Amino acid sequence: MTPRESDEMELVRSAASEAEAFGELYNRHVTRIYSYIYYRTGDYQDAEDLTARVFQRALRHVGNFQDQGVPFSAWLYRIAHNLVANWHRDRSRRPVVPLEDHVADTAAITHPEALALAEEQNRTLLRAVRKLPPDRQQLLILKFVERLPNAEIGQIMGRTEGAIKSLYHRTLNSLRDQIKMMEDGAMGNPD
Amino acid sequence: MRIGWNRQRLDRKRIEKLLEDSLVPVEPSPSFVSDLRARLVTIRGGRVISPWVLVLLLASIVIFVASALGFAIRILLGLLGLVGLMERRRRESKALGT
Repeated sequence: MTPRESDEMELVRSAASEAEAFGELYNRHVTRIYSYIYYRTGDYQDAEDLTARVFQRALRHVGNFQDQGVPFSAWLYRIAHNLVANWHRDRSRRPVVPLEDHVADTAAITHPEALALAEEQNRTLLRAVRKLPPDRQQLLILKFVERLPNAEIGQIMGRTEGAIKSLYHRTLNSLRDQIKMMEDGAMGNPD
Repeated sequence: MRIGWNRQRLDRKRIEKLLEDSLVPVEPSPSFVSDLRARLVTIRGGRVISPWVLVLLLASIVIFVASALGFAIRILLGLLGLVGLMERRRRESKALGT
């Protein structure tokens, strides 16, 4: 266990009874959890609401957390994953909010046509990502947004590192197929 | 709108590059972060007064008030008894004097 991990475990143990310890854990993880939920929901408001619920649930159960070699962050991501799954289930009868408002920074592109194209590509890619199954979306977010190594992603998703590599390979293929399908759909659409 | 990806070969490296460019971390608003932290810390602080602690506290207060009331009544009765005793002695001494 690295010094940082043991320091974190010490904080987790203290967090069961000390408000400040839980506050420190919150400071360390809130941005990552928010970012993860935002990409899974596509809405800032829902991301804030679910992030609050993740930490409220964590606060209630932090005393039950047991060190089994899985980092605290993995535990938080699992809570977030379950809450997002419930959120999607609750909203399944309502129209899904597309992740279109978020466009990554394209400020470096100055030509208006190139900028428009880059933004459209970005939106299409995010739409394609959101059409993937939840576990594949989760993998892409953890890998590209959180920049986590496969081993840690495996701990969060409850799979081996090899299984993550394999899932990643299949996810990229699915994403490529999805983009092609969306492109073909756009070709058939005169708009 | 057609964005022209069919004309470019969508190989693994290109998809990864697109994902790197598109999936960037997003930051929650500072006010959200600080408000939620304050709420969580308050909840944790509030946990000290759990329902059982509250029941225990109320029971202690009732017992204390009952004990204090009993003590006060005893003192009052004691004082009344003392006053009665003094009055009786005064009457007895008065009777003896006459």
